[in-house]
Amino acid sequence: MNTTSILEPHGQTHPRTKLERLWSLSDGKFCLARKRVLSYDPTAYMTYGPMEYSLRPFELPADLPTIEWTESAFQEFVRAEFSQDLDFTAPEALSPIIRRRTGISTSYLSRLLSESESGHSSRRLRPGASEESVLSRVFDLLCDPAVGAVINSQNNIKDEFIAEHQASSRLLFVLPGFPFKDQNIVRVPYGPDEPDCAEISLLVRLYRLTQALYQVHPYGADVVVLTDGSLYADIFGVDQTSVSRYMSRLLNYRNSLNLQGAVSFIPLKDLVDRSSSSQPSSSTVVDTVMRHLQDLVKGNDDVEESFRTLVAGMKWNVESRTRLQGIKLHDAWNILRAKRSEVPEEHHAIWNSIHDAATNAALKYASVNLMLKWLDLIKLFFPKAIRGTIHPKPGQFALGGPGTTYAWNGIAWADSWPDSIDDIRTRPYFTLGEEAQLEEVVFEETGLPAFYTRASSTDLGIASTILPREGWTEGRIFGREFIPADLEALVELAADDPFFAWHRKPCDREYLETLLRFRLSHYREFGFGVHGIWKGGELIGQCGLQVLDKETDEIEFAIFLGQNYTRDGLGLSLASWTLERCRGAGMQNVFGVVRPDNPAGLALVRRLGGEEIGRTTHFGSVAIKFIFDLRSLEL
Amino acid sequence: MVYVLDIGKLELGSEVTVTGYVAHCRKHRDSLSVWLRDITGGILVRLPRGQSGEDDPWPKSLFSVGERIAVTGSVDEGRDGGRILHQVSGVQQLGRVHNKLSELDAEMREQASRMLLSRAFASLSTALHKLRFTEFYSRVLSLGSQEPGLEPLKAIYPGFGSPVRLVTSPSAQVMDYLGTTGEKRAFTKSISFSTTFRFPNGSAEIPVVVGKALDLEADELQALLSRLSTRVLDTLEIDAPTVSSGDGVSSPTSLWGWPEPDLIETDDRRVHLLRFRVSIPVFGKQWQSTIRTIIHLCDSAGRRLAEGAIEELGTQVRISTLTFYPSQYLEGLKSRPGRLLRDLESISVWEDETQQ
Repeated sequence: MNTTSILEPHGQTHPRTKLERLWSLSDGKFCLARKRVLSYDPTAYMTYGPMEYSLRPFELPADLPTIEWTESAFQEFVRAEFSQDLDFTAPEALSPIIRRRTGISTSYLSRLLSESESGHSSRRLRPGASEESVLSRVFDLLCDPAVGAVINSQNNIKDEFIAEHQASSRLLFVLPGFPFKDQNIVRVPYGPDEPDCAEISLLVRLYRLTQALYQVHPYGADVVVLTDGSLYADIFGVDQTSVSRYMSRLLNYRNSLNLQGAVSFIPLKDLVDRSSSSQPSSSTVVDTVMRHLQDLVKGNDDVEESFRTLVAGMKWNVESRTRLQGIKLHDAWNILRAKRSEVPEEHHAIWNSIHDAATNAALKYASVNLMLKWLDLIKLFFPKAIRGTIHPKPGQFALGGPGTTYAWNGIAWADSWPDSIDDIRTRPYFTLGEEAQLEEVVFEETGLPAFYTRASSTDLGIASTILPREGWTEGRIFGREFIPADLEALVELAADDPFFAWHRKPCDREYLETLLRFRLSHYREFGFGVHGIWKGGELIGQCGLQVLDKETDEIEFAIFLGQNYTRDGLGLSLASWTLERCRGAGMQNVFGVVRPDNPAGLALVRRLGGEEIGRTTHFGSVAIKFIFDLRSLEL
Repeated sequence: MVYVLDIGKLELGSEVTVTGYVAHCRKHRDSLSVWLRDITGGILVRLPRGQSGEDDPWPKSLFSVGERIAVTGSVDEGRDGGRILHQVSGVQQLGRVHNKLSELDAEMREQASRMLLSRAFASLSTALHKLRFTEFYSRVLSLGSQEPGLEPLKAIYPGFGSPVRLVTSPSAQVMDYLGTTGEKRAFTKSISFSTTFRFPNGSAEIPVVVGKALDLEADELQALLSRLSTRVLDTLEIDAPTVSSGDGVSSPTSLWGWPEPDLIETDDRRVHLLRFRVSIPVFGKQWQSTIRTIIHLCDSAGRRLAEGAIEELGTQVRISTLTFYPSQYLEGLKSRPGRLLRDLESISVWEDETQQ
C-alpha cells in the first residue's frame, strides 16, 4: 500500500530537503520507494518527468542472530574497521607553532564552491547511448578519483552494478557518516560541535558527485547522508546537545552553499528507532548480540584478541578531551596508546578510567553495528540505493576523496591557501607538529574553525594584501589601482615632468599610455601593483609595491610624485606607512631601486633605513639596489 | 562560405567554399575522392590528379585524414543524385584536427548546434506567421510570486534586494497578449528556465516556441503540430530519428494519474501523436479553466518534440496551446547535443556519431 507519496518539484528553497521532509512525514517501518513518472504542469503548459517518492511499509527479519553468526560478523567487523597495527610511537611535536590566526568571511566558501565546480566541469563526460552504457559510465565515474575512488573498481563488480540498478530512475546514494567532530585530544583541537572545512569539503564533494553524474546519467542522483552522531554519541562519550549543534552547523553550511538540492541528512538513529516496534525489535537484537559477545570474549581466544584490538581502537576514538584535561599531550598520547605498565604510576587511575570506558564502548559499538548488519536496516529503508562509504570496503563505493582520515576524525589542511576542495584534505591535528609554521584560519563571523595551512612564506603572496585594490586612505591621501580612464589625469600630471618617469625624460602621451598598460597588466598578473594617489580629488603621483624579481621573491616599493608635491614630506610619510603595513602583514623584505642621479630618492631610501646591496640594471638604466629588512627596520 | 547542409538547396554549378576536415580520401587513376565533413554533414569532393608522369597538383599532406581544409568548387550532382563538389578552384590548408573529439571540434559542434537551433526557430516562426499567429516579444525575467509548477531559477542582482524569477514558460504572457489585444492567435519565441527534469538531454535552459489560439478545433491543433514538426524536420534534413541516450533511459509514456493515451498516426512517418484525455484545472489570474486534452508529438524514437493542450473556459471558449522544443529536433541528427546540467553558457555538447 502506498502510504505517502510526493511528486517533484516540491522545492529546493526550503531549509530541509525534499527527502528530509518526506522522511519526517512518517514514523515507522517505511522504506523510500522511487520511480520516474510523467506529469503535466498546467502553469507552464509543459509536460515534465518528475520523480515520485513514496514511503512503503516493509517487514524486518523475524529471527535473532545466532552466536555463530555473531562470532563471524564480529571478526569481519573488527578486520574492516580497526587496524591491528596501531602505531604507538608519539611524534616529537604533538602540536604545531601557529604563526598567524586569520579570519575569513563565510562568503569565502562560495568562492571555494565555485572553483570546485568549474575545475571539475572542464572534464566533459558524455552520456551513454543505451541503458547498459549509461550505468557503465556511472560505474566508471564512481571509479574516477575526481568524484569517487579508483579502489571502487576492485571493491565492486561492474556487471552486478549494471544488473542491480536502473538507468530509468534517479540514482540514490546512501552514506553513513558526519557523526560529530572527533574528541580524541591529540587528533582534533576543538569541540565536537565544530565542523570545519574538512566536513564542508566532503559535502561539496558529494554535491559534485551528483553534478558529475548528470553528465552521464540524464536523471542525476540524490545523496542521503545517514548521520550517525545521535546513534553513537553516548557510546563515544559525546553529549547529544553537541551532536545537535554540529548537525545544525553542517546544515547551515549546506544551505548557505545552496546544496540542499543534492545532499540530504537523515539520522541513522531514526532507522533504529523506527525498527523498535517490530518483533524482534532493534534493541532486542542489540541485547542478543551483546550477550553473545560477552560470552565469546570470555571463552574464545580469537574473539578475545579481536576484542582487544577493538578496545585499543575505541580508546583512540572515545572522548578524551575532558578526561585528559590538564595532562601534557605526550602523557595523554601514552595513556591512549600504551599498555598500563608503560604509563607512569601517577596516570594509572586515568588509564583505568579510559580503558574501562573504551571496553564498555567497544561492546556497545560492536553490538549496534552488528544489529544494523543483521537487520540490514539501510537496505530495507533505502532499497536499490547505491551504498556509499568513507572507508572503502567490498560492495560499497568510497566517496570520501583521497586520504585515509575521515573528515570528522581530524582537521582540514591545505598545503597552500585553498582555491577548491581539491586543495583540502583531512589530517590528524598531531601531525601538524611536522610543519614549521602554520596559519590557523577561522570564520570571522562565527569564530568556528575553517582550516590550517602553511603560513604564507612568500613576500609576493603577502604583497597583494598590503594596499586594498578598491582604495585606501592615509591622512589626506587617497590611493587606488589605476583604471584606463586615468590616462588623461596622468598626462596632465606628468607631461613635461622629466622627474616623474624612471627614464628621467619628459613623459609624452605615448610613454604614459605604455606605463598605464604596464600598471594594469601587473594588477592582472599579480593581484597588486603601484597605485595612483589623489589629494583633494587631484592625481598627484603613484605609490605602491611591484614585483622586482618573481623568482627570488623580491618586491619593490615605488613612489613617484608630481613636481608640485615633492619636498613636503609626503614621500617619506607614505613610504613609512606602506613599509609598516608590509611588516605588519608578515613580509620579510622590501626592496628599493633608485637611479644614482636621483639624490632625493637616494636620501629618502637611506632615511627609511634601506641598506645598499649593490648595483643593478632596472628598465634599461643602471640603478642602486636597497633592501629594507622589515624585521629589524625602525620606522 | 556555406555549410554542407545548405548545398542541397543551391543551384547546380554554383561556386561555393566549404570548410571541414578530411574524413576519408581515395585515389583513383585520374582523380581523388575526398570525403569532407563539416559540422552539419559530409560531401564528396572530386579533384583531378596530375596527368601521366606529372605530380599531382595538390600536396600529398593536404588530404590526410583529419586535415582541416577550405575547398572552393562547383556544386554538381553525383551518381546517386546527391550533391558533390567538383571543378575545384582552390584548397586552403587550415590546420590539423588531431582528434575528432578535440576541444576545437567540440567548439565547432557547439556553434553548429546554435546555428541549427536558430534555423529551427526561424522555420517555426515563418510557419506560424503564415498561419496568422502574431509574434510578440516576451520577457524572461519575472517579478511574479512563486506559483505551483516547474521549479524556477532565480536571478540575483547583487545589492538590489530580492531575486527575480526566470520564467518557466511564456504561456501566461501569450494569454495576456490575446486577452488584451482581442487577437485570436499569438506566439512568442522564448526560453524555459527550470531545474525540473524534462528531457534526457535537457538542461536548465530550454528554448521554446509557445503559441496560443482561440479559434482552433482539436483536429486542427493536431494537424498543426504535425505540419510544423514536418517543416522543422525537413529544414534540418532529418530523415529518420537516430537512437540516442533518451532511448536507453526511456521515460514513462503515460501521464501520472491519467488513462493511457490514444496513439494517432500522421502522414509523416517520422512523427506520431499521443492524445491524453485529462481534466486538469488551471488557476489563471483572471479566470479558471480546465485542460481537457494534452497532445504529445513524438518522433519514432519516442522523443517529445512538441506538445499541445486544449482547455475549456466555460462552455464556449476553447484555448489551444502549442509548445515546441526546437532543441529536441536536433536530437534526430546523427551528431547530437548531450546533456549538461550546469554549463549554462553552452546549450549543448555533441556526441560523436562514431561512438554510437
